[in-house]
Amino acid sequence: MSNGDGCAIALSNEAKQLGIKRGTPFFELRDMLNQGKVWWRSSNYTLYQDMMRRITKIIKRSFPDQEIYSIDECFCDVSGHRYENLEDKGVELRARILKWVGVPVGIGIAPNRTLAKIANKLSKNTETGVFMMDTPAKIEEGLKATEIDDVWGIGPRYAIKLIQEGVYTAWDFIQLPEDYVLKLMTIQGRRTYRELKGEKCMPMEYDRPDKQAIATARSFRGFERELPPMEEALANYVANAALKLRSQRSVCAKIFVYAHTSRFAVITDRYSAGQEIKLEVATNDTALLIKEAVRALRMIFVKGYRYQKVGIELKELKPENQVQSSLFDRVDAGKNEKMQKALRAIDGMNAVYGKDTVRYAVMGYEKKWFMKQEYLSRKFTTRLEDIIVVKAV
Amino acid sequence: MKEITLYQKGSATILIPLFTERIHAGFESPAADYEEASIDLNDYVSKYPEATFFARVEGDCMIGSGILPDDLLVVDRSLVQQNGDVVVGEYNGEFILRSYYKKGSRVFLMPDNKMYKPIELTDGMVFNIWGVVPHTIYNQRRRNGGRVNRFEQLLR
Repeated sequence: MSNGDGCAIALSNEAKQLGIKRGTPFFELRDMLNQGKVWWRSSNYTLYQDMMRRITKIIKRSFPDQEIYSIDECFCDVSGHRYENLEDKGVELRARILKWVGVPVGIGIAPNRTLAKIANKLSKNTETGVFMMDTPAKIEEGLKATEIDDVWGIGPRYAIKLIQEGVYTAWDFIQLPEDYVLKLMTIQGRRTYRELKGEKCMPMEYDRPDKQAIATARSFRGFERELPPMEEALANYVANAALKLRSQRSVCAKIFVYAHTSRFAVITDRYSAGQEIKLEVATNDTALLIKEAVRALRMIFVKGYRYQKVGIELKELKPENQVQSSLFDRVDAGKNEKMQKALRAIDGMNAVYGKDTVRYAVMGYEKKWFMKQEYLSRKFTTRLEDIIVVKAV
Repeated sequence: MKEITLYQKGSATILIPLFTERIHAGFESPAADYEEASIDLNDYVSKYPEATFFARVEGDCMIGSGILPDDLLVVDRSLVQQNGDVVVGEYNGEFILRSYYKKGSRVFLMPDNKMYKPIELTDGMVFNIWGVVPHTIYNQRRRNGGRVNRFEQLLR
């Protein structure tokens, strides 16, 4: 389930056969659970992250040039190495991951990233879980089997446009003239087009660039009608986001706060609003950010609605050292230095003694608003009290 | 003054600081040249930390192997089971602890406690080896009571 148990976000093959899709809301699934047809779990990102860490490490032992792309995907550049038989090597790797951590993976091997994504998708239908597109014939076969909206880099809007033009598959797409693609879909579309044709246009990104914006938002456990609990929730999200900001040594110059009711509420009960605030001085100081965020929330809050969600986005990020020098005359530099020291001390203590050990009063203690995660699995691999129990009976 | 930290990539999940020292014009710490990475138990208990999981024991069927209830098991899934290995198996939807023996085509799961009976795998059984247990961690202080009792008896 998604954060807050709102809807389905990942499905087993069996669940797909029951007609459940990504985005199917929770209340539509409740009957199926009651009938014993399906199981579900809240998102347990701690566990997923740990499993991914293990899996990427195993992969790295075989293919060292690795880019971790998301919580469940990574790319490996194999071009700098000589392999006897890449496909066998993939089959071997898949078996090792299955044995060592119990997770089945799909492996796609192709001349570039876009084609590798396609090969990966097709690997699900192979017996070995590995699909290698290394010859023009195999690439043609792969592209013909790939619907245009499944191509990495082609968003739903372009997909609709292309289907209207009679382009149904990735193969149809590369039959178009390049100028036409450029006109229709700009440079990024052309890059995808060239990659599908076998050219290598996207380099590996070994160091992920720092984030350009940091967002935190959660649904409330139920609904909130009053300002104080919403401010408390918002302050917690700001503290989270500010910690991320400091950990990448950035500051932000703008914040955006938003709140909304349920999308399913009747029209008179529906409300959604956001407020942007430009900060006088770019900062990563939690206290200042909370103060501004709460101010923004008060500007958009309207009494009488049942709010479902509040969120914060930190925008216009830049490295913290850039700001300090350029604003030397405007900010009391000594005071800022002291604050940075205090923040480092707070972050250090929270890292050792647990999240939010040192906190701002507005963040509260009870967290009544805290998101629903009623079906959470245990943190089997990262918490001693959650590890598996083995019966010696 | 400049602070430099050098890291050594251990096989463990964490980076081990080799040494941290401040470089400055004054006296150098005479100990800095002798500093070594601290001992990491992860390196001792497993070759592949990414295949290593921890588990808790419930029950006493392996007491003869020195495995008591509540002990911590190190389960290494990269290992291939050999005769005599303590293994964690998936059996009837549960994790069980036994030792493993293969004789010809017959596979036996043996307890190490006379109060329990051996299991021989037969066709209808659903059983998988989940991992091999190369080490267990026994909390000595939790067992102080028994030792103190035995000592008290001596004085009586």
